[in-house]
Amino acid sequence: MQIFCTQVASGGRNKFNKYQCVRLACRGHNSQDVRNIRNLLPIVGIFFLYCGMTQIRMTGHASSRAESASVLYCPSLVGLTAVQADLAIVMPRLDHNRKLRETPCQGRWAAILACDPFGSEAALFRDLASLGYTGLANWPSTILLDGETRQAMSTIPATPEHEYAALARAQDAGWDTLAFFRSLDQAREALSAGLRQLVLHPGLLDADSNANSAMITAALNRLCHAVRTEMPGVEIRLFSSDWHDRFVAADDLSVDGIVRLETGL
Amino acid sequence: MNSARTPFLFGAVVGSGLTAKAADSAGANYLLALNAGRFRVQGASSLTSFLPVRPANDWVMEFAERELLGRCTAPIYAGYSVSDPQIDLDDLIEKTVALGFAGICNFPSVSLIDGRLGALMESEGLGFSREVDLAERATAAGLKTFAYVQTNKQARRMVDAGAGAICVNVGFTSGATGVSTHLTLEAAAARIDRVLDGVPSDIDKLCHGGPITSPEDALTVMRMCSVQGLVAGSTLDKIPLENTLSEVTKGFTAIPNLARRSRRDERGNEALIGGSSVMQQIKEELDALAHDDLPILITGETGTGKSLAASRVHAMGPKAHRKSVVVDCPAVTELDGDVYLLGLGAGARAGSASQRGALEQAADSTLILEDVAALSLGHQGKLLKFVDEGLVQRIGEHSTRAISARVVSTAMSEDVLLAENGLFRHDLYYRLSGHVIELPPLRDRIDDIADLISHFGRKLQGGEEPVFTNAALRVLFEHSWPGNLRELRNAVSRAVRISQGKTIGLKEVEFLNRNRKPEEVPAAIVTASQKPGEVQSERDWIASALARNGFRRAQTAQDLGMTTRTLYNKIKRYGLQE
Repeated sequence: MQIFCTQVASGGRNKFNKYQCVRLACRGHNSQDVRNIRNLLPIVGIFFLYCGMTQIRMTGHASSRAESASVLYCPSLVGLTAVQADLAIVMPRLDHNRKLRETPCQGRWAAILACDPFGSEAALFRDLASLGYTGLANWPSTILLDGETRQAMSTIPATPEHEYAALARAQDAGWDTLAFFRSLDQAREALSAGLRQLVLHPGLLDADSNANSAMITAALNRLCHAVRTEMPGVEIRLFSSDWHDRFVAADDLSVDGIVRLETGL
Repeated sequence: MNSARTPFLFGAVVGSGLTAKAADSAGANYLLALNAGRFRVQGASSLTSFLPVRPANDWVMEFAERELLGRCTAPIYAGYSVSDPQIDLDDLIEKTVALGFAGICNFPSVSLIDGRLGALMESEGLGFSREVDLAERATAAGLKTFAYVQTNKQARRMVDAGAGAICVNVGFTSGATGVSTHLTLEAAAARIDRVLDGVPSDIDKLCHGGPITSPEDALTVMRMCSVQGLVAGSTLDKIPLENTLSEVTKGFTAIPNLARRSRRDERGNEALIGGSSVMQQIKEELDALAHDDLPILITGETGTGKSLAASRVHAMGPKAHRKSVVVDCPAVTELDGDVYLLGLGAGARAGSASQRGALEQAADSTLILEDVAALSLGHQGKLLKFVDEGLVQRIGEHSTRAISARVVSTAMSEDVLLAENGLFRHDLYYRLSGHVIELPPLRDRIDDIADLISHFGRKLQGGEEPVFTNAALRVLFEHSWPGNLRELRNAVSRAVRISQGKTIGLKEVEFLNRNRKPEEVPAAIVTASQKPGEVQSERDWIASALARNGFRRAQTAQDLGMTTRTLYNKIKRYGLQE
């Protein structure tokens, strides 16, 4: 534990993210020690806020506690596991944007259903601002749709391009924005819309993805590199969760921060 | 429901009391209360039914309870989504029974979500298996199940779960919904047969979506496969409702144009029909010039009535008692054009008698040179002498003859004649253009369209005026008419023929919308300089027509209302044969 804290502090000076801190802490220790250290991740998260990296906590649970600046509130996520969170876009279980508007502010960020064909965008922005939000993100998102579903949904229109355009309008109106993306094409769409804070989604992962962890990490790194090459200065955060930690070696990714899903399950 | 009693089964997706009552009174066998139907009547796509925009099940129960249940004779099925892991299926069934639904329906069904997202839904236990689970519980509770399926395996599972009706979902409905499908009706029928293979005969078999967008499509598919009926969603409400609203609205918005309609001056020639101020001005100008001797140049796009205007100048003038001579300049060939224009002296060619040329025939009358820009430079030189000095020298003769004739020329535009490409002699232009009259394209005088179609219609029907709905007139007003009067005359003729004497509605003028699709013009002949939204030039108009008619010249000429020879000349002039 003593070594762990030392390494975390060291990580802070060098602006490592929390996973890199844990990896440093784990060096030279046996697997039981590693498990113990991983169990301390929530504590590390507290340190993490002080070491120059940003972490945004994404949750569907509305809390009556004092709002936290680092929270991204997404009501569609309530009751879903990390895997099911990716399916929220095709689960007609609530009026997402209405729930956002009817719930007290949960933090700085609000996740909006940007492709909702109903309601006035201006009114949504106004209501969320009056609640106290200053940032918007596109979740649930169409970035994960593929095949005929994607083609059909584009007629609503429900597409990443449409979501980015909505975020861009929000940005023009003074909002901070986080744009979720999964591919280089989507990143380009977001960048061309003028968005500069992106959230990399690692894609739909299942149990079989475990065997390809190295490949997934390499591919995501390559994607980050390509985006940064095209738009130097862009901020890229990684969308992650306990579930995603099993597949994506986040400490090896060149990201500026984490959007960490809290499922509460 | 037994197919022996009901030869055709019809299921209506309803989202409001209005739709439900109409479908019920029209004899629908199933009324499916789906969130998709509700979204449609609110102006959104039925695909919205998958998005977290409303809580699907609560919403269906709410509107069905308020607007449908107890108000219709056909059985009403509640469309449920069970992809939410927090749904308690037993609780859902209990509420369904309590509300008085006849059964349940698995819509929006996860089976419609393809790709990795659909697979993930299945692996999470939130997919089709959960819908089968719902069907089993519904059967156990005495409810019926109307099951949407996409595969034979799904169909069999739903039959085993107690479903009384199997509906093959052929995909999202295409057509006016904006969704595209790769399936033809034949392929859809084949797929339906594969899915329904082995489904017992006492189960109702229906289909929905994909390329089946009309009763005619349904009939075609039914003839090709074993399906007994169709479920209609957007084809029942959205598409017909939008069309009707559009037609009625256009009927109202056409009123300003119809109110301006004038019956004045319909006795004149058709090029000049219309009460628009621009045409009134041109008519006055032409009539005033008729008694003058100045050469007149009439310009305008193809089909604007240049030749007719030229004829009017002659008809209103002092030489009207003599027949005017019309020279179709594109038809004047290099080979025999000299003889045609100037005539032939006796014995000039072996055994030939003397022959008067067109210029000479116009003596004491009017010489109308149609599309004068098409004359070769050689013929332009000969014409120059005639216009300048009033002299004609027959081929083979040494003497000249003095001829007095009024010259009226037509051309697409002055620019064609004044271009610096050396194709037209500027000295001839200045002699022909003593007075220039530019005829406006039809799109710039839409106020005259009502009068013109009335005129054309009466000519076609022996004096009886065809009846157009306001909506059809609105389409005619909105068309850009690149072929101008000629195109309008052909369009009226086509609409009158299609209507067979009945009222001409939107359907009869639908071809105008089809014809203006820009993608029909092959990229190879779209000029690089053409900007989006730019008014179509004659070149583009001809290119488009050629493409539309499979590059068959005779057919294209007929379509455009011109002779094959004129079309050929225009093709040559615009370089469209390359």
